[in-house]
Amino acid sequence: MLLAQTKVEIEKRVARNKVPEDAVAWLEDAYKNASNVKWYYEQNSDKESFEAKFKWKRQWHSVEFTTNGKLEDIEIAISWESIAKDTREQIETAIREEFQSFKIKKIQKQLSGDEDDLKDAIDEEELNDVTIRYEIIFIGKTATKKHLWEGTFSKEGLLLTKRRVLLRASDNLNY
Amino acid sequence: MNHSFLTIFLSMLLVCLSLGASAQQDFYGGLFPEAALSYKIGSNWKITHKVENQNGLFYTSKEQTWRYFYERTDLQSFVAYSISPFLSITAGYQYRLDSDANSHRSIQQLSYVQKAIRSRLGHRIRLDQTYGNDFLFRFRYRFSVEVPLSGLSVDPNEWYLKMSDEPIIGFEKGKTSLENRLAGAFGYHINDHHKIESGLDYRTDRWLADGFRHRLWYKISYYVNL
Repeated sequence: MLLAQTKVEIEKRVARNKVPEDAVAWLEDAYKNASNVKWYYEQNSDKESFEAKFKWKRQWHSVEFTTNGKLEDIEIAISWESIAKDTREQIETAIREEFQSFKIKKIQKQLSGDEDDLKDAIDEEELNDVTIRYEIIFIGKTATKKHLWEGTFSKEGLLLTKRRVLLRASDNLNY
Repeated sequence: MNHSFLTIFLSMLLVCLSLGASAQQDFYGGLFPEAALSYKIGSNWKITHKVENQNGLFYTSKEQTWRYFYERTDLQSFVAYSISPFLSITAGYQYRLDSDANSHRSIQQLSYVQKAIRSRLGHRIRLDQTYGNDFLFRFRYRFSVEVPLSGLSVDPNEWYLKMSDEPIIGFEKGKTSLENRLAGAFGYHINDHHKIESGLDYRTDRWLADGFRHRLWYKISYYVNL
């Protein structure tokens, strides 16, 4: 299992005309008539990317592209209950192997694979040829510590990677 | 969204100020610098020291006067225990150097930070007991919202907007008092250890007593996190 800490260094809103044309074209083709799409540029220690965020069929979608406009993955915010029961049980087992207790804060279904297959996944809901993973943010409690973690799980619920999420100091909200 | 916050805040401020001016009530204010230093002791404990200072520059009662007057300096220390990454309980002590009479204060606080899609919400419930000429007990709730002015989260070298409101109920010598603190500031997140905020803090009190009072402070705040 990989343990890493990735830190966002720059994340800013960008205009649609600053985004690579291929990225805009793919998005408009896959998500026909998507409205209120907001584009962001993100840079961290590993890479740079462009990300489109919007609501589609009552779910928040986040679509990430390279700076060349190549599609990287799609993340869809989902509820715990929408994950298959067997997968949920496997995820719970995987987390309990390392933490005494946990509380889930956010779940995203991550779709990756070929651009055409991902387009089919969105406009035809055809998921057979795409890789499905779950990115789950949870509070994990050990005997002495409670921290926020982000775990990536396979479609079957196996833990693939995890990293600790570092929170910005909230001294200006507390004092 | 940011523009709406600013519009609401400025509108409320203008309404309050015009009400205060027309009713010839107590109205004063000035400069309010403050600084806080926080550092961890162990994985779940944090210490914060804070100093804040109020310097009056204008006073309006029956007639408006511009003059400097020293109001107060508060020296505070807090020890916080993190129950979860978002929830903490805190105990604190304050010594106030006041233009009238110095005082001691004990403070208990519960803070909860919520992460929304493009903002952070802060909830702070605070109890405090002031031991001065008389004993004062207060119950306070502060709601804050912090919105990045670029992107979805506040990153280093980025600006943000912070708004807050805090109603305060006080009990002293069998009497109940009511105060409200409305504040808005622009903040600059220099890096993960330093941030600075600049804005207005508008306080109204004596809601249940004679002599309704407005206080408007220009606040500049510096936060250091080691």
